[in-house]
Amino acid sequence: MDKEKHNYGMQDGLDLDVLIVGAGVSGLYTGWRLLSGEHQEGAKSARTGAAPRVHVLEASHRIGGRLETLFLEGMPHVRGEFGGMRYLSSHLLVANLVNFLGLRNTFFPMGDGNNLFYLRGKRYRSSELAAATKDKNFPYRMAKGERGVSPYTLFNQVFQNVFAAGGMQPPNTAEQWNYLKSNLMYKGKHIYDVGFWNMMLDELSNEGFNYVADAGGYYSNIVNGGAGEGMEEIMGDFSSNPTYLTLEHGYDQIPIGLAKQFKRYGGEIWSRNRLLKLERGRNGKIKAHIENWTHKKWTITARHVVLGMPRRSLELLDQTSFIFESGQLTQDVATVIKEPAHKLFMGYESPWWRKAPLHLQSGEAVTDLPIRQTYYFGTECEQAGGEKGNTNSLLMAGYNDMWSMYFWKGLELKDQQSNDLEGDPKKRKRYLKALEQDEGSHNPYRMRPYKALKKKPLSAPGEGPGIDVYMASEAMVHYAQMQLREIHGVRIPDPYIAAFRDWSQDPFGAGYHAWATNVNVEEVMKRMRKPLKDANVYICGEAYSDNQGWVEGALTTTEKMVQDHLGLKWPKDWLPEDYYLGW
Amino acid sequence: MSKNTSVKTNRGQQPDLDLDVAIIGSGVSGLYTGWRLLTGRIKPHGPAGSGANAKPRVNVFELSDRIGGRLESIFFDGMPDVAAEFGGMRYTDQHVLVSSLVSKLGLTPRDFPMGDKNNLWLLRGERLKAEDFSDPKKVPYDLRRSEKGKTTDQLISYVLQQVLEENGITKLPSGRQEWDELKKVLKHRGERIFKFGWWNVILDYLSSEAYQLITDGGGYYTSTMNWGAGEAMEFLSLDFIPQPTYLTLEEGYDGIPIKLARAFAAAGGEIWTSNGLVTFDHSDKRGKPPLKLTIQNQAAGKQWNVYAHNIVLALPQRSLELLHLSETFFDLDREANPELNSLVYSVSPQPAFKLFMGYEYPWWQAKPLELTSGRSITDLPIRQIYYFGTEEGSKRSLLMTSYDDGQAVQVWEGLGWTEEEEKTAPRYPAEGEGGKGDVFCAPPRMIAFAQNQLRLVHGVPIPEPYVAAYRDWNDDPYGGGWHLWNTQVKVWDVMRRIRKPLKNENVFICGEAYSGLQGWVEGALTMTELMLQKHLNMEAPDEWLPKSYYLGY
Repeated sequence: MDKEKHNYGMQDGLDLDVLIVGAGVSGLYTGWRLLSGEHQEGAKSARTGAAPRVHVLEASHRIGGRLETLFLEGMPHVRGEFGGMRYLSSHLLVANLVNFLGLRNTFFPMGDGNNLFYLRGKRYRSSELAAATKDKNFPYRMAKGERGVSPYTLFNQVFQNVFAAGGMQPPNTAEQWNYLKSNLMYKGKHIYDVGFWNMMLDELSNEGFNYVADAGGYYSNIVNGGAGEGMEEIMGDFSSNPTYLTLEHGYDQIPIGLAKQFKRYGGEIWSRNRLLKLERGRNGKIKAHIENWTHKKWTITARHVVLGMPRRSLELLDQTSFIFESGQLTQDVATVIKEPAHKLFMGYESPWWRKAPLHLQSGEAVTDLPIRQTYYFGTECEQAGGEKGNTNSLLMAGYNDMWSMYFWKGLELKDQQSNDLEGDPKKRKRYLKALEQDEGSHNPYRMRPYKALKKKPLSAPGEGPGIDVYMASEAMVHYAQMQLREIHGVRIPDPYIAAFRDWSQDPFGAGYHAWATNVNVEEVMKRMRKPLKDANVYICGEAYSDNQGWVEGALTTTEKMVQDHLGLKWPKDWLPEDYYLGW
Repeated sequence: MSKNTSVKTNRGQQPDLDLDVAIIGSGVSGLYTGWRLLTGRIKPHGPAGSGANAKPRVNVFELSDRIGGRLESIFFDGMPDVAAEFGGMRYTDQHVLVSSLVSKLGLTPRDFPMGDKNNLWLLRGERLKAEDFSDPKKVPYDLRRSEKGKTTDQLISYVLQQVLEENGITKLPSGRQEWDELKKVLKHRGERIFKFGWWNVILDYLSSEAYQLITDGGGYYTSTMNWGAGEAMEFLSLDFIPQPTYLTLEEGYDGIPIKLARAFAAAGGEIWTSNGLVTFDHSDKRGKPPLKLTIQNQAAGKQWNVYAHNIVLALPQRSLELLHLSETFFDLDREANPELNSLVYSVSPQPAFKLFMGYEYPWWQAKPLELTSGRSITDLPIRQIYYFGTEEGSKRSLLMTSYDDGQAVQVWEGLGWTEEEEKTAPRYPAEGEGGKGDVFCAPPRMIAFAQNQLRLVHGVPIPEPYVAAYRDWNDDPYGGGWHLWNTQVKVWDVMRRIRKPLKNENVFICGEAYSGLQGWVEGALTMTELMLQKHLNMEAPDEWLPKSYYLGY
């Protein structure tokens, strides 16, 4: 959570060396690297002699993009990670950056054998699931050879078969993966021309496929994008028992830390200013048309423009912008699939999941109910610096994507359906009223109102009035509670607070992305970083990376971009020189 | 379709053409609008711009090279009498506007048979027939005791009854008008029903396993999607549960737009094909009608202008979105026109895909299957299989191998031609045979996958097909096969407003997407008829449509 005051103003006619659009982790990293990094000699450099003038433009009132940590009321030390929430020990760029910025990391615990699976109406402890698949009453009527293993082991078995059939060794490093993704053949086709779902159905029975789809937790796992990318994503991230890490003060401390450094080196961030259109200016400069939250329009000219934006944000730019003229960029923008994602957090007065008979500590429960994944996040008094005796506890009640997220999206109130970039005070008032009215009526079908309903919408205190994390309506809480009861098989106390984030809303359009089939990812990644030969425009971020859905993906392509196109040297002082940054 | 050639269309251009009404889209709504305007009775003052008693000047503009929109009937080689309905394929006896229009146009209705007790389900690897649903041991879903032994229709009916009971209502509304009134006041959990999605409501009364059974066994992923609960309830209770009599046309279901187009042309209307609307705005020329349209002519690769007093956008959401309207008065952007934006985005397009295959003989009729017509349903990506018919004499037979929607569509998309391959892939109709078709012959990989799925569902060897072709309605400019209302939308309000979304501008929207009967021609036409009567000053067509027929909000 960010407590800084932001600059919501404007300065028409501003002239810059580099304009960065988007104050997500990629944009801020770019700004920080440009101002603090060592520049190469010669023409490539974004430097004009003195320190370059680098500013960041951000449409919303806050910084962080798809990293957003909130501390809900009554739990000032329990992180509510409404966006990205963790990284892997193998994510060396993130790990080293965290170190370098002096941020404190901590384990992101994944529970134990007690954790639950609730599939097709049956409950299993994670320690017993693999064996249970051998039971003839197991609710997935899988083929014999598919039984006896956990979902990620079954994924793995399929992948091993696919590697072997293509005459290749299982890859261990990102470099090996890239080699495999370019060269592996599957049934006479390049693996990038094969859909992941199509490949899985060639290898598994439909019921075996349903088992890995449901028990794998994410429907985005099985999206029918490029099979090579799909395998890397699943194997690298989930099926090799990695160590998960996060940050003690919230995962959005990365962008916040970067923003602080960026400003310290003289950078400026213009919040609540939306890029509308890019135009060719004089002397090879680029003119950016911007709309301020007051609806006033202004322009910036810059020698270089970096778009740290995902697919939907790029689509929201005026498509008559010169960068789309040739049609190539429009085509490239569409090479990734938008994966909608939804997170619902609920706060309870005690960690009911710890008690008998559940004995759940941390990690997740996975189900085929619309809630899909539930994470046991933590208790206030057990946090570093937490309030003594305060047992308020946080549950990420629902973490779901693809079609399952529409169950929750359908319950968003009208005013919660569009990310309110401007924080219109009238709208906010209407929103509060709607919530109050919800509480007013009485009906036997309703659950008891939970305490915090009347409280203000969630936006970080001290920040602008914009809203992007919303209080969950009573109906949303009702369905979440109903499904939690079913998964756990016990009574569950009412939550005292509940809030959600829908990442399918504009301008994000998705929680994460996946490469489509028939895409030469290496080529597109390179082209995205500099789409036009004759213009200094660059695109970076998670969406067009080879580690989609992770900060590591966002940062590795961004680091590539600043080195290849903005003249920065390898950051030797904090990143090992042999680290592979990908395509 | 092959009979398309007999509709006269114009692929040329006529810069600075003046019109009273410019209709965009030659789907069934657009052509119906044109036909009604030229052959129906107009009230004395007429649509804005046309002089008193004068016949209005009405033209239709179509982006593609074919007419019919989401109705598209193809006749494969060797089956001149069995239409492969790649788009909409049927109507019900309750669809009075379509039925009346079919009579009026002199088209030939015939039954669309729905099979018998032999039809199959393959769910979670278990093969079932209708009678098996009453035996809980055979149904592979972990149902609650009260749910056991029920068919999918019975489970849906149970939810409908429960919601009505919640409101103290004991009897299902009997018709559309009653439902339309009820939807406005119906409550669930103490709140108006439009605040809930259908999936939400189902889970209040049924287990998740029962929900899965309804979804898998009902054949469609989208009908149990989380769309507006009131709308879903009306839709299911009127059009699916009562098992209405389904009808289609001997001529092919796209006989409706084709006949409309012929009658429109005969009455002096012009249809410009391969002439897509790029954008429109206020006119900049004195002495010209107030609206200026920019049309892209495919053949010449050039844009030309048309001036009109009225514009009818007979287009679904994605087609509207593809117009270049930024910086015009009709900008769909949320910041520029928040109300217009919220109207246009009050529905969601639903992906849909159809694969047809032709066989030398109807293998499904042989023992042990003995399937005659109707469909089999599965949770495999193939989803619904329809036994379409057999050519008398040659015995060649048509199978709608897959009719699928929702998440299943991506599986087929992964097997279709790539964008690069599409450029040279064979199509229906072939070039020179009434334009460049948009139905593609299926690649071998898709045929192999489909054949394997057919084997799994039927449990018998399947002969090789001699023809196979597919249509993906997800493709632009359609963006989906049909549309569903979002939750939190007051449909009664949106339908009324979207027909004329901006108070002071004579721009109108009609069609299936924003109708009270989405996914059906009846929805498209009732919505269009309402637009004609309310905004284009037309009298009701009492001479062929019963006066008492309720058209909707």
